[in-house]
Amino acid sequence: MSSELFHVSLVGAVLVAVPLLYAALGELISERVGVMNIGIEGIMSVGAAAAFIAAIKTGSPALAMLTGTVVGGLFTLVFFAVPVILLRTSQILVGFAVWFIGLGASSQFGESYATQAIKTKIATLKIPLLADIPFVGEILFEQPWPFYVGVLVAVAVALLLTRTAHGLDLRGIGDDPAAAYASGVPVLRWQVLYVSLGGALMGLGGAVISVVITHHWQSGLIAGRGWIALALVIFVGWRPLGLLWATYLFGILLTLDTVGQAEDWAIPAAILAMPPYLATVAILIIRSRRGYRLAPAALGTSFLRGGR
Amino acid sequence: VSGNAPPASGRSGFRFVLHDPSATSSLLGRVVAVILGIVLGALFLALQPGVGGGLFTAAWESTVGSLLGISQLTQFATPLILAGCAVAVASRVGLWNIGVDGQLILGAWAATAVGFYAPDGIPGALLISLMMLAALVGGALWIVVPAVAFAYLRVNEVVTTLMLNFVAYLWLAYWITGPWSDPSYASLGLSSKPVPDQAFLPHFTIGSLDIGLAFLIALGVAGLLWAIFRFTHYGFRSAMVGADERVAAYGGIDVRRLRLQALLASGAIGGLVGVVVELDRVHRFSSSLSDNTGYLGIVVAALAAHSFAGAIVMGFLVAILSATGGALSISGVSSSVVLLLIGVLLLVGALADVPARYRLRRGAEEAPAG
Repeated sequence: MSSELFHVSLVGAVLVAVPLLYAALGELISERVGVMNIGIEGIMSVGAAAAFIAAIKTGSPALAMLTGTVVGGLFTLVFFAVPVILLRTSQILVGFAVWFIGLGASSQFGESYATQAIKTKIATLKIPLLADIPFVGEILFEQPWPFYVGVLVAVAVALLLTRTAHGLDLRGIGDDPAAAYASGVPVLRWQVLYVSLGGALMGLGGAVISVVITHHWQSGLIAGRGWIALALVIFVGWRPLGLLWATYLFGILLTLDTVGQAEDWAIPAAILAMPPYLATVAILIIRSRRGYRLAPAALGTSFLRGGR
Repeated sequence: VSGNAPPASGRSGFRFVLHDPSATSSLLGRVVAVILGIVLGALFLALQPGVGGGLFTAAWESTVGSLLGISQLTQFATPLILAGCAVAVASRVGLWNIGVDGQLILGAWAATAVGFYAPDGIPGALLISLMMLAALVGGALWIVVPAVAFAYLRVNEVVTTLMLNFVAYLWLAYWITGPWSDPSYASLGLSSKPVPDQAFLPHFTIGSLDIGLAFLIALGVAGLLWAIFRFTHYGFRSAMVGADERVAAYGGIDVRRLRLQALLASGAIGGLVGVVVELDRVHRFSSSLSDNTGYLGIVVAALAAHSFAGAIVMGFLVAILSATGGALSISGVSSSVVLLLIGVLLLVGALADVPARYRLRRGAEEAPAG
């Protein structure tokens, strides 16, 4: 591979990693308060479709991104957080339901826009001085703004969880909700809030795909990225900053088929598109030996005030 | 379970107390939920632009309202019943096989390979048997890694089985665009060349009623699984593991081995779905084989509460939704609505367990033990 193409693909991989970063951060927050949300794929689809429609209607990428975030959060609140946390239904079954509803609703409402494309491309933000650093400058400091926001959100989540009293409460909810409740933490309120905020981040992740990366909408656009995000959370041991490099790694894997086609590699594109999915299985297996010890202790259980 | 969580219902002396839902109240909840889901879905569809009252005529005609509709319905229900059974075999021991879509593709792939490379004059019955055997093996092999990873390392089977679906879609794309591509058929969607004629599964016609052997196979598989889980030692051990893993282990059951077997069996049945659909109507290795069948299988199994007889009923129900969606797609409503409706159905089904957890009691404060 020519060194120039290598560099270009490393730059492109950052952008491809951004939706994974948002979605995985959303899932991480949700899981740290003890709720496993497997509907990521559906929530991302809804966010992607809503943001795309907003981009076509308003012409503003920023407004589109905001729409994707808000719609993703509300969708999660209504269809996932309330049934799972307040009504204590199965997190797995409702997660599946959210996945199907999200896929179906986004195709249904996005369909009439499938032939259109977004004309306003999102601006690249060049950080002065830093962008002039050879090689890494263009990779890290000359990207569209959602990338920088994503890094900031990751740092903010890390600080919130590990450096604040509120974060301690949140981790307490994820590890032992009954004990947290006994010490005066409003368990259900924070669970509903942070699971919905997590959904908002997933919606934003979807919005980045349709508005920043592809500039058009089609059903099946998310192509398993929601599920990859779910696995990445386990891979990094529920630590937000770990997602920065883990999602970038998957960004590189997700751009392999484009690179292969550009370079006329002898390997068919279909085969080159397999590594992200295979790698997801591989990292789960690699992580399994000590990974699950890092999981929030009460992950996946529902909390009943005064219950057992 | 103490009863201070649910709201007291007032002065009359009646109140709701929490208890573990009985099988009857769960099932009743599911049935009510499904009916409610269909009513909601029908309302939603009727409100779509350009549908209106014609919806119900179209839905009726294309499903239970005509012999042609019923014939079509059995064809739609066939893969759904089988996929529901595949998912239920794993969910009976507390695991989710989300990878039926992938297993059916690999099953069909293995079967197609047998069809292409078998000697020319091979009798139909033998060829079909060999292809089905290949599909069972192909489906089981496709789940080996998730199954072993779960059994020995407790790797989350939901993610691993699902990820392999995407690999399978790409595998399919590779074969139908590469080595097995059939350019002459390209106008009707990418696919391989057809498998030999003698491997087509026969259909039995009585007047305008048309029942495929594939449908009978699906019923047979569901019946066989029902009998295995009802009457054999294996079924009993599965039920114990499904009810409480620790108690089962304490009772001397090799939980790891049982779950490994369940996942492999689930994958094998997943492979069977592929070959049955291929030999029943597609006759080629093609992207139209999957059609979300694996995902719909989850819904079928979940709504049927993991019962195999229930899978037949729910398979038909989801088939009615699919057939309706198909009839409507002609009148301009996209078939993605079907996925949406099925999601709502699943959500309502899960919600139905909520009222089933409460029981109306008369009397004062002390709550009876659950």
